[in-house]
Amino acid sequence: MAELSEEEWRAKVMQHKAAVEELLKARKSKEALAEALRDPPYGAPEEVKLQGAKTVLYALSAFREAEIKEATEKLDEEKQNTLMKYLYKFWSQSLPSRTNAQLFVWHAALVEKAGTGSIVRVLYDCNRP
Amino acid sequence: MAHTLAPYLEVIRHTLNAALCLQNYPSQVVERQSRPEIEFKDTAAVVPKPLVIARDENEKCLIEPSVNSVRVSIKVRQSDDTEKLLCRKFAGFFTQRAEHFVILRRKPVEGYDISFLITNTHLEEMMKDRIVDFIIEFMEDIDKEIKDLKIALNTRLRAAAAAYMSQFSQRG
Repeated sequence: MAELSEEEWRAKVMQHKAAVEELLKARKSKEALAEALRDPPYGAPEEVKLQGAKTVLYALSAFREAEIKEATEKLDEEKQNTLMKYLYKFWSQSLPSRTNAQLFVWHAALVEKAGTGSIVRVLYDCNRP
Repeated sequence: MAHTLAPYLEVIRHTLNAALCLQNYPSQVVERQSRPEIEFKDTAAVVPKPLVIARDENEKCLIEPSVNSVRVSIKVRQSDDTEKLLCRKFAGFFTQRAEHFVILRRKPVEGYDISFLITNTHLEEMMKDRIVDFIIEFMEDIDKEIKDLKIALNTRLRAAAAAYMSQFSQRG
């Protein structure tokens, strides 16, 4: 992939965000999550990555606790790995404890679906969202 | 309390399970030696970025993996000065006896209260599941222990104060 400039990255992330919000408005939370996890901004500068992470968190918060397990099963393998990466990113951001507690539920569901391997892939993948 | 603590510990358990895949790795810098890569950071390629698992700002866990060693650091919740003091004493007590705990690191990583350092030799001598269980149990216990100590301390203080004041009331 060609190198994008900071402006281009920002435009891309904003476009992504708009698409996710559109889907959430139409109450398609599962599609919104899939869209949010598609093509994460790996090479982007840190500030833009934070924007991207916010979009994912926004999509995640649309789910109720009972729906989480079902939602993880709908994701394909790559998106599961991406979501796992995002989970660890969120925890290192010192978010409020309510949000963190919700992310624990996501993690439990994801480990059940994707196994320990997905955590190992988070550890040893240099591409961090 | 236990209801919210359990998922947190479960995440740590899974992450430790994933991170504790260690092998012998001779140092690329010093000949005929093998030393924990996470401490010395000799070869950048075998030390991936650390992971943080947090309940909130005051209670988190840092897991730093590498090819032949894993460093696990715990930050214990300390809501007031008494708990801060107790936690410091408690951690000091453990670190002074670190050789009995084998995997305990003598000095905690900055910003955390207690650190463990697990190397590949530990995994050869001990079972991985047991080590993970030990750390999880340790985290469960330290919370409980500090709470108990705090209650005991308060009771004792109250009793001492009552005993001290009683000598005045008898005279008066």
